[in-house]
Amino acid sequence: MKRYRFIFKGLVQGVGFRPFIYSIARKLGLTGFVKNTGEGVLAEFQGDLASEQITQYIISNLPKNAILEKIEVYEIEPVEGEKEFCIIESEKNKISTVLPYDLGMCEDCRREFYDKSHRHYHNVFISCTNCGPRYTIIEILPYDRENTSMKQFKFCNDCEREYFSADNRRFNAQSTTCPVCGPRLFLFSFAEKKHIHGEAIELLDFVSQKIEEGYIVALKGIGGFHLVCDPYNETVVKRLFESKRREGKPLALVARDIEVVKKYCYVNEMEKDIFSSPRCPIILFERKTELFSHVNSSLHTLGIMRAYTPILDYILNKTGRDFLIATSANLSGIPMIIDEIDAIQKLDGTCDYVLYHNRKIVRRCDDSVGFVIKDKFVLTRPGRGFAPLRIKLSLSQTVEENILALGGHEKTTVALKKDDEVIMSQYLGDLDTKEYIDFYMSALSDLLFLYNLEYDYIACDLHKNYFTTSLAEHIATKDEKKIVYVQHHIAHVFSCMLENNLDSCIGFAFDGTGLGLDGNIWGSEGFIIDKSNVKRVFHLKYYPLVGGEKSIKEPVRLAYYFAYEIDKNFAKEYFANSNYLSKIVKAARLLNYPLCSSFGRIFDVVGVLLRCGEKNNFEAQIPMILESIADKTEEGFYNFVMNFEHEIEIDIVYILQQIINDIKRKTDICLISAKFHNTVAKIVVEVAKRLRENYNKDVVVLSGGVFQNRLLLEKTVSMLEKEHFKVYFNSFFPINDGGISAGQVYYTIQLLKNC
Amino acid sequence: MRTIRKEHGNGGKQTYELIDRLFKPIFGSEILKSGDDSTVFSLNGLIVGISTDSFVVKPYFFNGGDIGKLSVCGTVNDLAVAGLEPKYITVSFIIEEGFSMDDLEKITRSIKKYADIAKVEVVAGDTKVVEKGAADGVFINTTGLGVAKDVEKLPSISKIKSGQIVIVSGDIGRHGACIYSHNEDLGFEDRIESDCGLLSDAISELMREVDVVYMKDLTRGGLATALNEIVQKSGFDIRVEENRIPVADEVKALCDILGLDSYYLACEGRFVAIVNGDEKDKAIEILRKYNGFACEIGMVEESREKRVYLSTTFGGTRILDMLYYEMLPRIC
Ligand SMILES: [Fe+3]
Ligand SMILES: [Mg+2]
Ligand SMILES: [Zn+2]
Ligand SMILES: [Zn+2]
Repeated sequence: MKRYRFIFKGLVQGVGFRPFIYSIARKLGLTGFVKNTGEGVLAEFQGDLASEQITQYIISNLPKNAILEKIEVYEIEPVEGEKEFCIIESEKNKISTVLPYDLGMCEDCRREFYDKSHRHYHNVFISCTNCGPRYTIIEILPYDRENTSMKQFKFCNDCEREYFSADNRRFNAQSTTCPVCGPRLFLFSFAEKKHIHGEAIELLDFVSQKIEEGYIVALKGIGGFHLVCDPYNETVVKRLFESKRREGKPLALVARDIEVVKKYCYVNEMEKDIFSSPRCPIILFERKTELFSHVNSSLHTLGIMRAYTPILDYILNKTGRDFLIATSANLSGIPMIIDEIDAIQKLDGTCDYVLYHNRKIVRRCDDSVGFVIKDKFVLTRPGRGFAPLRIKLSLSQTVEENILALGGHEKTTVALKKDDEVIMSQYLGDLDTKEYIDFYMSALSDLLFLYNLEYDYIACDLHKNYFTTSLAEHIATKDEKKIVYVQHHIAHVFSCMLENNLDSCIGFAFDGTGLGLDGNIWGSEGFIIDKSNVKRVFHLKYYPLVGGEKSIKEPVRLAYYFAYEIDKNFAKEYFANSNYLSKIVKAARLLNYPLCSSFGRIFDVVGVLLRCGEKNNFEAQIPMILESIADKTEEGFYNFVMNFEHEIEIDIVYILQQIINDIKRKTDICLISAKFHNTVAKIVVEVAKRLRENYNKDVVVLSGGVFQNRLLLEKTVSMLEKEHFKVYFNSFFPINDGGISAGQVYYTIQLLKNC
Repeated sequence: MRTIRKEHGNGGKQTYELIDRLFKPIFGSEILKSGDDSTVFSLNGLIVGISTDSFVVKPYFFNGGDIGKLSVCGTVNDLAVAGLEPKYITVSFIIEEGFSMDDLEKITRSIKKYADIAKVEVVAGDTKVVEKGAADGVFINTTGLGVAKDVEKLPSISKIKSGQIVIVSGDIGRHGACIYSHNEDLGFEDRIESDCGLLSDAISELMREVDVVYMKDLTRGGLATALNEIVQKSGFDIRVEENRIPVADEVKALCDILGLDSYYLACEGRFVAIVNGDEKDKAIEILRKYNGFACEIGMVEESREKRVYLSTTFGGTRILDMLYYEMLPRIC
């Protein structure tokens, strides 16, 4: 008789791991126990089997949402007279570093939900160990029912039996509940200014009917409220755009399954897998048809996610639609609403009904967004199913000190380094308003509390006007932390280096605008990176950012400036409001605007020149249209000249000049757009080749918001690979500013390691 | 080498850093540390206040005023918002060799005219002429002295409490917009009229009728900067509403062209007054006699983050921060 102690680390809580161990022990005839601990899961097995056999059995049968990173096995003294295997309640006061994710409804639950003979038939809060809310209901760790917002719902007899039966799928599933004992649904009507009463299914039927009739319903989901309506009804879509006050920003769709998506979009294997996975992000699919042009501003992609809650699935079925719109209930400047009182107060006029439940959302978590390219899922908004992001540092990449990083200004996240892990929060939004700053602050303290972090270093951006920078300075002074300022584009590159475990590379950050080390605005940088040594070796020749911040929202200003510099007559003829624009350009000369090397702004300019629009009503609207119109079969490109002084510099004016010549020749704009994309990719390749010669490096890292452009990313990676570079781009940490905090952490680690 | 940059004079964050880190530690006077534009103190039982200001505006003659009028109004207004009755003023010129004698005469007459209107006496002066290139045209410094009758009635930052109402005395940003509109290269057909003007009459009537909590004139850095100074010194928050703040259409149009924010444009004849809720209607009625755009724009709030919040028409609450590196975009 032997006894072993197993310690399991990784994502092993909230995924049915203990019941799984229990069932295995019973099958193998072992005695002992299993329990959650601060570090993961601990089990002791006693019997006649060798530890290798037990390990083997466990590894080959893991629950599908578990991620096992490490197993430690120790042989210990057998216990006399032990009769059975049991599950022990969690230890208090110890915090696991692994927070479980919210998971979309599983197939088993879906079947039961529609099975008339099943106890969980039409249980609108159905869930099991494989699915349901977790991250957004946890108040404190460890993940046990009494530490979640499910604690107020006391089990009925049936649920209790399921929860305690080791052979049940709901064994120890903290979100287990049923119509007898679970949360209730409530429906508020704005027109009647009162609640409408009924059984859960009656309310869902009513709401489905209203959606079919063209009303908008706010729906409380897992991490916040959605606004749901009928995408086939152009009038209601228009109304939704107006009330969200974000003219044209594409709306997300939900679909029942991937088969529906395939009817309208191109779907590859990886997209299919991720779509059907429990994470259920919004995936940007390449669309086949013109359908829903009014939903996505005629872009070439549609953002679609699986109907990941029983309620969404039911309404989809009931309405008989292939798709519904389900967009976050985030009015401009205000984070997604998570509370029903707020919803009823703030959404009057925006929608007609509020359907909510009385299970509290402990923390806000938006839908995740991403796209698939080159066999990678590029996460652009970290939210449900992904957050908090977590990565293990390899032994060679870690340091003793703990670090807190506060991120940038837009699409903010916070990240921390604790022991040998980097953990990054969900998307916290643009910090332009008090409401988002409040969200950011509560998420920050939430994260520090959950992880019980004690840190020595605080990392932030260079930009003095960022809220996060002044916050870092404030904390550093108050709590005596050491502060590390990380340049924006260096942080972009380091975020990608972190997820790929690199400490040296040729790094490119093509981006919007971030403050550079020389006080100018950067955004087309090439770096040679060796550990914490960063040398800027490439950028576009500086141009004046005419109109400052305003030119980012209204790139027509900058476009006119370039056009006028290149060809005055063309500029005057081509722009309808050229009189007004010349005033702007003249004003710019007086006001001492900053110098800028951003590539993002050049995509804006080319977009304006090709009539993709004059203003960005939402971020990157014009560049997205520019990408959409590009003729993907075109292989030509524009000429450019690399100037060498101490850095490589390319003057974008020469390229814009050729574009304007093409426009004057009436060349098809789809060809011009493609040639421009090709040219940018070629710039990366030519610069990288030159750097490879000079610095003997062949690892290239691509990061920054501009690479959210799939055409550009795909082209650049392919062309680099053809030249035998080893190419990396962000997939785990966002390639846009959402990844800045992770990059700040990793840069700080490198700095500490090498000083 | 540490050097003075242009931003140190923009009246925003860097100006305050300069004052806090250089001037205050060296001068050290307790009165100066209060950081107000005017200083009020008691001299042998008499309550007096002094304020000083230098004027370097270009062009010297603009739509609605000139550097002479400006240098009287600036100092008189600083005294007036402190609750003082302006009495005396001194005027010093620094003139560049070659400056037009006719222009200097016009400027001087303008000083005399507005000093008379404000009922202040010019009691001392000084003239320096410097070599060509050592100054740019003409610089004027004025120093004013005012008196107060009743200390109790003086507005004070310490009287600010949450729930009090913030009133602006007229539409904002005209002076800054006016100066830009005079720039030949911009080619504005119509020059915007500056708000340059005296506030002493409006304020003395206001103080006769209302227990004014606090007042501040809007100068460099405009409304946003003035409100930020108030929250920094009082410790309270202020919330203002975008759709209540009066801005003339031509000022808005110019801001659009320049890519600037009207909340930060200079004024030279506007002030904000903080009053108790029960007196706001009376206060507004009085101020409207002097400027039809006077109105309530917001409220003092309790939360004590020392921030100025702007409730925008699109929903959401923008933070109106102190100006800092004004042209650097934060958008990625
Ligand atoms: Fe960025
Ligand atoms: Mg002054
Ligand atoms: Zn399930
Ligand atoms: Zn139950």
